[in-house]
Amino acid sequence: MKRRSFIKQGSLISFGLATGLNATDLYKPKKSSLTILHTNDVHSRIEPFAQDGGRYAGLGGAAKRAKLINKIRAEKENVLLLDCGDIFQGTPYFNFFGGELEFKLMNEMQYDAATIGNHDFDAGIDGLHKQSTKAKFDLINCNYDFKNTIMHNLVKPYRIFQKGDIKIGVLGVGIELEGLVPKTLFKETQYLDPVKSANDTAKLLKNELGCHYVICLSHLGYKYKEDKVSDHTLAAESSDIDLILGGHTHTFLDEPKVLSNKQGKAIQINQVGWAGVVLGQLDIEFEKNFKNKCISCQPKIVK
Amino acid sequence: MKNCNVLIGILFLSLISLSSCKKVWHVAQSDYTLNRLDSTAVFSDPISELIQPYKVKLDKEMNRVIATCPEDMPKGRPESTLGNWMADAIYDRANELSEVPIDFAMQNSGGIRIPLLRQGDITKGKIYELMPFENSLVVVHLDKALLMTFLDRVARSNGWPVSKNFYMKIKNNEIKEVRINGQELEDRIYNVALPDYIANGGSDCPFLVDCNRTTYPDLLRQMFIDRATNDKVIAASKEGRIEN
Repeated sequence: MKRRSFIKQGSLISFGLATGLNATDLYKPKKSSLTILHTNDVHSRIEPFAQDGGRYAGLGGAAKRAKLINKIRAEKENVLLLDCGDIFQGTPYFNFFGGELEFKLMNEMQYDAATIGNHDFDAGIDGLHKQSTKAKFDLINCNYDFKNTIMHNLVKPYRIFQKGDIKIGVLGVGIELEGLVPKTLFKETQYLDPVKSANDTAKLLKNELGCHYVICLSHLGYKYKEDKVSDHTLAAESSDIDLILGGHTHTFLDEPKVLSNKQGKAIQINQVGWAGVVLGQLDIEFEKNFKNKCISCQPKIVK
Repeated sequence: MKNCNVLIGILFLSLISLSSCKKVWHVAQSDYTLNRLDSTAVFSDPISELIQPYKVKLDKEMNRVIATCPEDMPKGRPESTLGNWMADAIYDRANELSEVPIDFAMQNSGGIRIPLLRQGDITKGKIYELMPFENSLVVVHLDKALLMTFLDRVARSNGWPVSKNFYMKIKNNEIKEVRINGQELEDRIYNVALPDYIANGGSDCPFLVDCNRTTYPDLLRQMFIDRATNDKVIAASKEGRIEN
């Protein structure tokens, strides 16, 4: 287990008061914490990889993930558990039970939300619908128009979570399905520009719905050599997203990547490979302070 | 002295109030923990119990050893032993099913879902991991121009798994030479065995969507399972089917 503190800054106010003045309690900023746990591309990896000497031998498995999630929930006050799609496909569990167990386990682990990956259409939109009706977590996507499909009232563009003092907006974006998923499977699902959809939704969440922090669950993919929309391009084009949790490219990162958004402010991207080998954990400390003193608007990595 | 401090405090606050409008929640610190679920991690009993009835049903069928693999067979481009074995299995079965002779069989590289088939016993479950998709067989009937469009696509990906009667030389992701059964391409219809996923436009093959085709209900995975079960051995060699 690796732990790194990569965004850290004191508040000028608390620093000033703590060093010079006694009337600190009056001005001490209010604090609130949030723990974000996330997975992506679990691909029906219900059991750990077999002990066959392979690269991931013994890694992963829902039962181990659940135990760790429970432990973290017991230690942390405010926890969000999120998934970035491709829940389905990859082991016979999906071929034989159609994703039933995958969703059952996510319910049991109390996932808060998940976005939809291309392989989540592999049993057809009807197969996805069948499992979605049993989900106790939200399916979130803002760039697939499901209005002419059976999924139309089962997917939300965003969801707002109140955790302690913090209002968190979670939105989701998915990859272009044409050319990747047979149309017979996704049927009348319409793909909309993910950057525009994500930005419009994030703006709504931040400016009108009062969210303090906006998370984008993405199944666009981390980065491409060719000119193709990815988490990197979305990050550079966004203004109101604080964190992109990604999937699709099965990218293992040692730590979240910090990039500049359209306003030159920091935005983080993370992805945890695939198959449930890693559970990502971001522990975020929020403080309530004067905007002009908000150094976190320009956070930096401290290693 | 205490009063004085409070006074300074109030003064400080007033200054801040003048310089900014209101307090807002913002990120003060962000820590990341990479939790690797390795073999030391503890299992949750309730979750294991939930999995158990599904596992019992699957294990009975999936843990059955159907063949052995004498040496590691990795996936790779432009050519790989694993890819050759798969493409040949599709080719042979397609030829049995098809009324017209098959020119060659191809499988998209992205459709192979394990990095390698390890030396040792191969279970039925391993073939499911190799090919989890419910892809069925399609034989597309392509004229020379459409065949070249398809092969250009394959060359851009630096080659896909292909059956034994095919040869292609690629340089900088472009085709330099193509031979099918040792012959240069002619103006005729070529019968190519593919996963339905590709024939239906998948993996950036939209040009195939409207082509002439014969579809079969037979799943590719079943072809691999049958081939492995019959042969008892899974093996193939690299023979320069696609070169770069």
